[in-house]
Amino acid sequence: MNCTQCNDLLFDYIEGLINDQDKHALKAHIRTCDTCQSLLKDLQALQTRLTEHGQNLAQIELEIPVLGAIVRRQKQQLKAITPPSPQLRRPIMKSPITKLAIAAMVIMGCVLGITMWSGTQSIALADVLTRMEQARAYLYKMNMTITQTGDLPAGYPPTQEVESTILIAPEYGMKMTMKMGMIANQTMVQEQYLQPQNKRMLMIMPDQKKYMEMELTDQLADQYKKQNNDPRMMIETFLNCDYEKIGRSKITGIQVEGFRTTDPSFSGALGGKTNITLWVDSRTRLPVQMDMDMDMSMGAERTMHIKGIMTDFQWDVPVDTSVFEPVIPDDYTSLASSPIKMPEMTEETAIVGLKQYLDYAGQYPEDLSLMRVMSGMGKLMDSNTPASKALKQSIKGLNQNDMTKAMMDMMMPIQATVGFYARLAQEKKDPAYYGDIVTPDQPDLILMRWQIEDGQYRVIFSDLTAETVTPQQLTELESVLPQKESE
Amino acid sequence: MTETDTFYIGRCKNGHPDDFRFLVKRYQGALMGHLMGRVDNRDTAEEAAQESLVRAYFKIDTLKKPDRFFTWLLGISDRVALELCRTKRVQKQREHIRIEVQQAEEPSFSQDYVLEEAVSRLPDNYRHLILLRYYSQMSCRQIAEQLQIPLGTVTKTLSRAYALLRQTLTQSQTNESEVAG
Ligand SMILES: [Zn+2]
Repeated sequence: MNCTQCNDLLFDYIEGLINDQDKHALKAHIRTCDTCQSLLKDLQALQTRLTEHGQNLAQIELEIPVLGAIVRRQKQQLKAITPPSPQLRRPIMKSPITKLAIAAMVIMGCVLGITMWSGTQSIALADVLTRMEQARAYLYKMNMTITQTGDLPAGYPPTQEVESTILIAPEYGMKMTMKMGMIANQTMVQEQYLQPQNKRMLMIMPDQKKYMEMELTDQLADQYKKQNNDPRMMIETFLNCDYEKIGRSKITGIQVEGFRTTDPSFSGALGGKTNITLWVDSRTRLPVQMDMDMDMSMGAERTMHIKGIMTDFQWDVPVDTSVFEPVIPDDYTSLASSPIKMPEMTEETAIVGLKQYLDYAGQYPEDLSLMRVMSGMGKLMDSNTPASKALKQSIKGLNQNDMTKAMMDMMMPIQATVGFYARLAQEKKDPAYYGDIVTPDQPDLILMRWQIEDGQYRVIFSDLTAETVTPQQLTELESVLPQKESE
Repeated sequence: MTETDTFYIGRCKNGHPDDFRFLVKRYQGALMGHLMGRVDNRDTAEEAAQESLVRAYFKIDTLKKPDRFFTWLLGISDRVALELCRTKRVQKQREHIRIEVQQAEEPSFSQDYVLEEAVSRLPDNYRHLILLRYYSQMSCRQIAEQLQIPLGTVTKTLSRAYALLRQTLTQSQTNESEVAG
């Protein structure tokens, strides 16, 4: 070995990176060459100096202060309410109809919250679920584009964007911040707080300085305590549906596996054509993204297309529990004069809801999908039934809060029917509803049915009485139903 | 600590923000080393290192190439250091305090200012590897893996960095002895 060869290898030598053969040759050369020997000593001295200096500086534990600072800054971000844009702050709810539409949106949000993710407890197969159960608090984003075509009410934008951020801590509740484009291109920011312990749901609209309180029933509160509107339910609901694996892909550099379902029962409350893709991290088994694509008819002349994406899932978000207990500023006013009571969703309340709809509209709802019933709410006010006239009469001259309360009270029972039916669909109880072909003057015809224990069926007739029947009896009852016009 | 930056960054984005801790551990030393050449004392460096890491966490979505995390982090820390120095200068002017920074330094830390100065004068590509190897205590192999470059390139670059450092150190030694003499 000569000096040049030796020089080339010296660094690798002090770093312990050369093979035995080279090492021997190098050592042999150094024994005989003073220049290389002193160079080696120099390099070793510099190495020691660098190592010591580096270690000295590295005597620092930034992990805890950095993570602490991140948590503090995150808290501030979570607490920060989207600042209201002044040009958008104008009085809303001038007319009863606008008010009704907004009230309907509010209720829709609540009912969606209840039904969309309220899967059954039965199947917990995938380890996806297990992984999620280990996390403490979750955060995710949901963006939806809602496109409506056909006969839209005046001022209704054909396309609406809804951006939500959802934070869930199983022991404390949920906070959802929603920003939506509303009627007449107004943007509406809505914060929803779910507090199952207090049996309370709180909705705040900072731009309008309004809030509304809703009381949960014991049934709902219990359900929330167990399920808490959290993404685990979404996975569970998914697993309850027929789904297929669609292979691997990459999302922002993460290797993911896809699962797809076109089973409409996934979105029980929404109904209609459904195409949902769930992307799960191949390595961690945690959800990375969910794509939603749903088409639904909202009456003969209107269809609604919902395209949504749930993303930015975070599973170990450190949270301050005060985030779930908002302080309502003094200058905010309540939308309704007293807390709105959420209905129980049982057979009984479902029947009350059908009766309510009939009283106001003079007919049964054509179908029980949430969107369709909601979009028909305006009609209830406009119809000439005695109940509708009486309501219009009774809200005349009321202040805004009492008016909202009156209309919410009118709509709540109908929500119970919709919610009850949606849950039957999600739980795959084989429900069917015939409001499109059965009228109230045909009391012996079957209006709605679903499966109960032992394969028996529960049936609600058009006179709103209920009975338990065998599958054979059900077949007979359904065979005498009038044919749909379209068929 | 054997996973790549890309892996941890993916985890952070995908619901495991806590995994950011591994990146903090991996780069805190190198970051301190880098900042010591940018600010005038150890406390400020520490403050800047912490702030840089926090900012990096919140900006992680904007990082296009996760395998360039370290360089990106140094970029962030340069801006933080500038800001901090500016504030501190203003503070000092206000307080009319003129203390030699080195005197204010905690005496318990034996600081090798000469070496620090020499390292800070290295061109970036050499300096980054020195920081990773001796301040973040990564092995040459780990560096090669992390930066996705051949091991030979890492050792050649470090070897060249040694040569440059020796040059600077010899010069400053000569200067000192001239001053002394
Ligand atoms: Zn030699």
